[in-house]
Amino acid sequence: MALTNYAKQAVAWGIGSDITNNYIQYCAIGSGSGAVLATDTTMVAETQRNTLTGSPNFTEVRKVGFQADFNSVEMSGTTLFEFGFLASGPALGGSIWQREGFGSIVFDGTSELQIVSTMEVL
Amino acid sequence: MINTLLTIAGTTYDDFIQMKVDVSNDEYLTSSEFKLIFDNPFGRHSSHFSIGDEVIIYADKDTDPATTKLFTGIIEEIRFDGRENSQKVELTGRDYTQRLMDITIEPIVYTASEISTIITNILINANITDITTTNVNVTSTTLARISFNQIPIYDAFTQLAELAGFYFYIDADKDLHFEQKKNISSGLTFDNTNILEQTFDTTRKGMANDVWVYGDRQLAGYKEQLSGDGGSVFTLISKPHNTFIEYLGNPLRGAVYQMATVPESGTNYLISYFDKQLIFASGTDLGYDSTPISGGSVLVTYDREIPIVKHGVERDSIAVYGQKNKIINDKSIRDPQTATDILKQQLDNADPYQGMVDDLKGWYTLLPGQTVNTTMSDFGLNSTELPILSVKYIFDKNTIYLENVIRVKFNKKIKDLTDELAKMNKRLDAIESADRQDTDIITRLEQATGSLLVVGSHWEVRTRNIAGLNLILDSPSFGLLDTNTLASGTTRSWVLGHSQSSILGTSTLGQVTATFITVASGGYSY
Repeated sequence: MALTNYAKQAVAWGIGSDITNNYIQYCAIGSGSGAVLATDTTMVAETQRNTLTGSPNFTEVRKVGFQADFNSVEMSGTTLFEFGFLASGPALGGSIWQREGFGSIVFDGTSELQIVSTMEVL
Repeated sequence: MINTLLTIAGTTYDDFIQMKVDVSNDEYLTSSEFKLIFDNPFGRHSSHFSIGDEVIIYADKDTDPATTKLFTGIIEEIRFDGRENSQKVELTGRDYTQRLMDITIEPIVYTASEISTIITNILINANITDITTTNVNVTSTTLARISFNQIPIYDAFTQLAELAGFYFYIDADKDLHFEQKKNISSGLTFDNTNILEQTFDTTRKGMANDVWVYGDRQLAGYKEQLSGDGGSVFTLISKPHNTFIEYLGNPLRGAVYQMATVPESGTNYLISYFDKQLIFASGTDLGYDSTPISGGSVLVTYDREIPIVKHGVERDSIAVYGQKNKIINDKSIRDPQTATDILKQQLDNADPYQGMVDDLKGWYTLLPGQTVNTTMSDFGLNSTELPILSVKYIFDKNTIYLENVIRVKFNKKIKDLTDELAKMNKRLDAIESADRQDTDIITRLEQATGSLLVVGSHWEVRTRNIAGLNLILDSPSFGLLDTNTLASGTTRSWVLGHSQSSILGTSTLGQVTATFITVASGGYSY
């Protein structure tokens, strides 16, 4: 899993200071198929960005779980290759904390998308 | 037969060739220690041991496995030795007394403190948490003042034990024992029925009956009122430091005697420190005369040294054994009472040392500090309540069957070369520690390693089909009324059963019954 360098920097900031809104609140999806790198700061080709569904899940120690949902209309016509998590909401803005890539998933308007990710601190 | 049980880092080992355990207290001037030798064919033990592993040794007679804990310590050295087809590994280490030897006391002064409270406080301040203090007994000695300046805790405890007439050691359960000497009798008597071999030594080595204790020197202000007599040289009462001279109420300028052939211009007087002389400057080369006129008032203000020195003599011992001096130089002694306490303790050693070593037949439970009775008429020995300094156990295949594993040392340790080296080292420490003060401001650098690793443990991409229960505005599939599409555009969606896109007021219209199916996933398994 590619937790980006920016995410690590944000953790360092978080340990030492109280930065407003500097935590994961959004999930972006995209149609870009580029390699996932820790140096990524943006999605390769972002198509949609939603707020997280509900609050992050902290029920397990040292873990935080995120969930994001995209409805069939949002997904219609999308060939999904990537997703990422961010702190900022405006489309194409802010730096991504995490980016994942996978084989293409085609959405023709008849399916919804749900993304679930859990991060663990060791 | 003697049975043993050896565990290292929780694992039991029974293939040692030889196991030596030396259990001793501070009067033996060393810690308890062990030495283990294993055969190491084909590297059998190549990865079994690490520095810092805890070693626990049990031994009993006719109880298998043994349950009496003799020793708990830590591996401090691992040495492999191979030659041709023979390989051995030797482990050595000390008991938890090594904590006291390895850690020094940050500069601190205790005033009006009972000695056992000092002992426990030192351990707390040093943050030594793996040694308990259940058996630190209260003493009847309260010290007016004692200071420690970065000396090992062990040396400090030794000093405190001597001042209190106590001894100390750390037992196999890692509990510190600080107990009165000759206070616990073992009830055992050793004589020609259970002694296999004995050495009995009486010597003047180590004794002293004429003791000098030199502590620090303090400066104290002093003032002398002199009157001019026509001469230029005045002798002061003490050797002067920080001299300040006033003549007829005016301060004068001073210099050091014989620093220059002709004093610097403006100099009025010179100080000859070792001669305690105040010399007023005059002469043709200098060009003026600062000598006070007869009857002229000279006020001399200076600091004089007041040394803390105590001298004690044990006359009876000198009469019998002859004078034997001992000089203690310890700059950390900064008050007369501490010097007196140390002097008295040193004079307790005014008689010749008697040291005994017995190799015993059989098995006995012995602890350093306990007393035993011993009789050996051929050596003129018939003593009671001799304190045990050290108990050495040597376990190998012969000794455990023959039951001759125990060697005991009694009474006083006869000083040897290593003791002299240790003494020299202590003297150096005492000299070097003179300038360390408890009031010093210390800049501390602490280094440590920690880690924080954020891993994306697991992620899933899930989809679910919405066919069957849907009316989606503008959807070519689910937005049809007959053949026409309701609404248009990408931002206007209304999906039956969707948690976000099917809200009317606060209620959801319709329900999606299909479940999400994972179509992609990744990250680490957990």
